Amino acid sequence: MKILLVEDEAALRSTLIEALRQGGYVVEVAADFAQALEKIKLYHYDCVLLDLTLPDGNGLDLLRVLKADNSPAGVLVISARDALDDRVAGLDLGADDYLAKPFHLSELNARLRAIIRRRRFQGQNHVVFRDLLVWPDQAEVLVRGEALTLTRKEYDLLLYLLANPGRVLTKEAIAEHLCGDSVDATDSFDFIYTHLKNLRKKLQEKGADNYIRTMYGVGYKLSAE
Amino acid sequence: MKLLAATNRYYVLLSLGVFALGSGVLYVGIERAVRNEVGEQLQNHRLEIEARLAAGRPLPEPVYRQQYSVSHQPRPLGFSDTLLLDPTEGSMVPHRQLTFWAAGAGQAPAWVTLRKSMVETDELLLATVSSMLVVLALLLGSVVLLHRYLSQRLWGTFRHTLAALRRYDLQQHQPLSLPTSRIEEFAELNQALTHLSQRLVADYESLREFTANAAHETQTPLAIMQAQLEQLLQLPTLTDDPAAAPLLADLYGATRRLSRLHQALALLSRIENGQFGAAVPLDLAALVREKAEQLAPLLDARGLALHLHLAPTPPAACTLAWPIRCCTTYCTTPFGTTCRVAT
Repeated sequence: MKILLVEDEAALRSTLIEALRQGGYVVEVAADFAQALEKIKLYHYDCVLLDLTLPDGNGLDLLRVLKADNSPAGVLVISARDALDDRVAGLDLGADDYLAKPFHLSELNARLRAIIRRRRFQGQNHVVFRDLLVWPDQAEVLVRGEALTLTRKEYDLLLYLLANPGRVLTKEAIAEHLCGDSVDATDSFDFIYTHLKNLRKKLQEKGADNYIRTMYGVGYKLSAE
Repeated sequence: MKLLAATNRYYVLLSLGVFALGSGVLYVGIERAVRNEVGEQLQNHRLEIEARLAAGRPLPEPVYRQQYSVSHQPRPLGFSDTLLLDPTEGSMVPHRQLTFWAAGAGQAPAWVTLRKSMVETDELLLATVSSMLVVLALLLGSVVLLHRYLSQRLWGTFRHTLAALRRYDLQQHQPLSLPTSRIEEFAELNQALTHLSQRLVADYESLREFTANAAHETQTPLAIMQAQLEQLLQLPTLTDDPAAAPLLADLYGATRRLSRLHQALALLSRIENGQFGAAVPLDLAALVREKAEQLAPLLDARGLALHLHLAPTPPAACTLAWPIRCCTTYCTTPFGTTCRVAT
């Protein structure tokens, strides 16, 4: 899957490139408006990660060009401008999602996968991980062909892990993914452990391997090994 | 009280005072003038009579007792006032009289009294005061009408300016649009207000841009820090040093909290600056349900029981501070408490 990353901050750009390549994406880069415009006119991408504030232009204008060209590429806006009107403007112009900086790379990965899934398979694809099969649109989870019953939070947690296989997910990232901004209110992430414990137990009851690994003091990882 | 009404009141009070004083002065002045005139006329008649007597002619016979009488009994000499009955009208009439002593050749001395009616004088005074009252009424009426005219015509610009100020909304990002006036004071006022509103708009825009830029300039380095720390956490070599990973994770968490704090402060600044002018109707009950669902794991972790009593309320305007209030409530509620939310 080919991604165009439009980001003017060199340090953030290189980190994003590295993270996206680790996630298995082919990443093309544009550091400014002119480069980005040239690339979206010449090439096709599965998804464009679009920063709004560029040194020589506005990312929203690139979004307009993409929509005017009927580009099939999904657009994920990543911007430090998190004012409500900026979000509304981006989504109104046809962006698939809006992620305010700073963000968890795992959250970016999850949203990116969701956009590509919707775009390429009209949301009808499934996710396979070892002996696990998930149909996101039906919210159905099968372990070795056998249906698994999960709570809403356990299901969200599993999908988040599946969107970031092999990647260490911090407890903060998981908590924010599950509880949104409300997670600011808590000073403890113990509730994640409870959900993880229940999820592991249910998976193992159905005969699944223990592929959710605890990274001591950091978080959790869905291990492919 | 309106400025014009207050001004009007002072004008009227001053006019009344001046008129009362003027009327008194006029009354006294006219009365004295008339009495002097009457006195002069009586003196002239006296001189005529004395000249007649000096010529050896006898005193004239009195035709009207009210005007001329002769007595051989002594009377007080000089001017005096008296009331005499007017037989025609049957009323007492004030008179001014002059008594003097006279004696013709070969005649017994006599005390002559000359009189003149003062009725005409009173009528003159009455006519004068009445005229003054009419003039005053006309003057006061004119003042009121003039001020009403001024209020409607000349002060119209001021009222228009006032209405424009009341309607003015800074969030429209437009300076005041005030008409020009041919009255110099109002033109200056409108000009000053227009400049003031232009400065306000510029300051507001500057503040809004500053808030947006500050958010952008701070969030970008935070994003870099966070992304690079997250990448560091992915390094396989971290497993070789068990102490390093938690340190990095703590650093990562602190960065994230700093970012959240900054976002919250930027949001509060925007609310404080009134940058969320447009109220959006929201289904409060649905919003509370959604927030309660998000908070569920946190509530469970703290042993908080949440009971929602959500009436099917009509869409209500809800502020952006709602999530902040939720979090504040959550943070300040003791462990094991029951929370009730009702709409």
